Amino acid sequence: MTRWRERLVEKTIRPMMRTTPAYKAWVGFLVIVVLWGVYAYTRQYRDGLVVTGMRDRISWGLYISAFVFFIGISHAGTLISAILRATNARWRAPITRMAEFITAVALLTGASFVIIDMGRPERLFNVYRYGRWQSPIMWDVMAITTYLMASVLYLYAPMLPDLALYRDRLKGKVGVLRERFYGAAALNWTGAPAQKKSLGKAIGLLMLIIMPIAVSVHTVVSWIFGMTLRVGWNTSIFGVLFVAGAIFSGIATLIIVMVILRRVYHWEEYITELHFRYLGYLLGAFAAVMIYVNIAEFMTAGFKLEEGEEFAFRQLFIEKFSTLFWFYLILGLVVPVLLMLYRRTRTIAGVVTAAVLVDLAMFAERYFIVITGLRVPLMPYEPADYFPSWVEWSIFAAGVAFFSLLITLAMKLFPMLAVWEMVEEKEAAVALELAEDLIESRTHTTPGPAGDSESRGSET
Amino acid sequence: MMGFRRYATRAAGVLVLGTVVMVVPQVASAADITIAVGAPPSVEVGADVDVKAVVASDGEPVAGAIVVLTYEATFAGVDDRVVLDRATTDAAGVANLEYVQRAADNGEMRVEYVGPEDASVEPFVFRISVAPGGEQQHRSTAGVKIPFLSGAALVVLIVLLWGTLAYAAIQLVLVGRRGDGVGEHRDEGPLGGIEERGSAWAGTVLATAAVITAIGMVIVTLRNPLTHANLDSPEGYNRTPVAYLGEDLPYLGPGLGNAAPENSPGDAPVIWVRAGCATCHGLAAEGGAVGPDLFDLDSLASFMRDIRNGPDNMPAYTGEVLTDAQIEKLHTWLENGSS
Repeated sequence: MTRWRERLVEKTIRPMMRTTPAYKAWVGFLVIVVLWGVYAYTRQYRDGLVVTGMRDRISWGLYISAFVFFIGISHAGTLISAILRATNARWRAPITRMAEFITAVALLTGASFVIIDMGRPERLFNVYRYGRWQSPIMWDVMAITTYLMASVLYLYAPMLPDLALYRDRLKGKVGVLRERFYGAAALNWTGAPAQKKSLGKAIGLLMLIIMPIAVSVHTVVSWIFGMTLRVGWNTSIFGVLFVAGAIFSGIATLIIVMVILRRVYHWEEYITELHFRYLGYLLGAFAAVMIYVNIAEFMTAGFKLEEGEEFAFRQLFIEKFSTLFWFYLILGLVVPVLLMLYRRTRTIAGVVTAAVLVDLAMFAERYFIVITGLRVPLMPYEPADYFPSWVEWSIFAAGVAFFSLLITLAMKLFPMLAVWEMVEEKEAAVALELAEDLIESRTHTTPGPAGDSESRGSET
Repeated sequence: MMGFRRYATRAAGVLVLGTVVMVVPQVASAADITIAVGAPPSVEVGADVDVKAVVASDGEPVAGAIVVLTYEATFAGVDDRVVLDRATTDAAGVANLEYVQRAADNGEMRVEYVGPEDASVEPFVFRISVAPGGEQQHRSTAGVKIPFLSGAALVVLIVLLWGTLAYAAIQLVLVGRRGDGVGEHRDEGPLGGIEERGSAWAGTVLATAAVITAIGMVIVTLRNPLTHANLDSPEGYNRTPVAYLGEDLPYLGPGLGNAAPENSPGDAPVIWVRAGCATCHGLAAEGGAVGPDLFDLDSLASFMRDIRNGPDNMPAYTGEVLTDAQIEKLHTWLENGSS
């Protein structure tokens, strides 16, 4: 047990101690992409939004799609980790921390896209000065602010014992700055009973409150569209579609981050095929939910086919956006379900393939929801068209790079595996094994009631 | 009995017709066609109104004549006549025109002859006054009021949510406080002993941030009624004029639709709009969000100088855009109260 723990600590700490050339090259690459995006943004700031492909009629484009997408994948963390923690799923321990990091980082990235989409970003504070709660935009500001605070706390609180571990183990092995950082961040954690009680209270409360907050966030994001009188957005199922899609793409992103970190830092012992399979089940289940919600939406709207709806259907199903749409439906929703149905494809490779497809498809979905909704003409004129300009592509690429960069840098600073939770789980498992052995040996010598050992066994 | 009533009605109709024909001056027209109208003097908003028009030619009823009932309306600065109904006369020369009284005031109403002959017929002009009351048309009541569902509910929600968040953050502060006696609380947990302590400011920072943001959001919500941008605009300046049926849109400027011909004295408003003055100074020079009002005007010379040079942030206008003569016209128009 002690040896197991030491090896875990060693493996978790290793990324802090060693910086490989490949890591440096990766960071360098990401920084260059981000800087290119910054350059593109200076052009946009100087010349205005005219450098984008957005115009008066299609006034939301790649930025808002990216905003919706990133806020979506932020549900990876918090919601998945909170649900698994609340249901006391034992296998969660090695993956919760990563999930929570994805949340915080994706939220920061997503929120910046709103500011990037503003023509006059220096007027940002007018949102607070003149904000009115009757506006769905204001609901979004409030929900995302609340979610950001909650997920930062929810990331931080369970990390405390591990930060204390780093504070103690890394003393003298890292620079003074990082040592100071761990000293402050670990909040004097010593594992005292009073501390454990407070921490338990904080984690328990946050775990419960973060679930409705996360659901509200993507519902409100969908309402930004759903509360406008626009064909294609004007459906009551939009909130459900967005929340389901958010969790869906969140799981996919978590799987992708997991497989990369596992490969790079050799965490095969901790992040096993079992984790991928379980997350794969969740992914498949949510793909099925998405298929259902899509059918529900298109059937109710398509059966009635009110004026304008016909245009929306045609552009989605057979015309301009049909490639994206069918890619989303078939490769993004149906194929993942199929991949998870068969034992032969339910491998790590299969799950990761599904996850990549799902993330691509979900981005495509965000994109065509935003653009097709605005494209339906409100008056009898030719539909407007939109294609992102190089500035938008550059800033979007920089957003993705920024997201990856923050996760990459966090590897150097924060414990990415929840060491203390994993140790607790391991101890519990070992104890259970011992107990079972004991019971088994006892039942062999003195035969007890037949159901006894079975009922014990079912608790594992 | 019934026969007598029908007879009486017809007789009364002829009597009315005769009276009207005598009252309305006969205007010379090709076919010498006249129109007489019987209509209620006053109606309520929402009422179904019947207007009877009698078309005659030299005292003989005209069958098959097409007449329209119109009233005068102003919308978005355009004055025009709106057709309420159109009907064809029967053998007795009577056309039944119907409409629903929607406007709070009809202005001048007319029955006009539009066919089938291409005759110039003097329209019959009359008024139907609109009595207050009745059913208000085409204005929904302002939403559905649901008890307890208001801004206060939102404040309660924010306070509850953020109170929980702040409470969790304060627990973290407590974690920092309670770790002070390190010696007594040697860790027996999975992570081994602790020798070193840092400060616990991080928890405090988080808790403070939570509380401040919570208060901020409540303030934003409570300030809600005060945040309408119109409040600190120039007095009387309304960015979004509200139009009600039956009222003229508060459109103060000239209508581009009925622009005066070039070089007539009335084209100053057209110059005012076309040159873009109205964009900043308002349609009637009453001032806007950017430009001041031009009620107290300087001499023509300084007015001209300002336009040519562009004081403050105003664009300068060359002679190609605005000729001296046009500026003079604008000056005169503004001096006369821009009307």
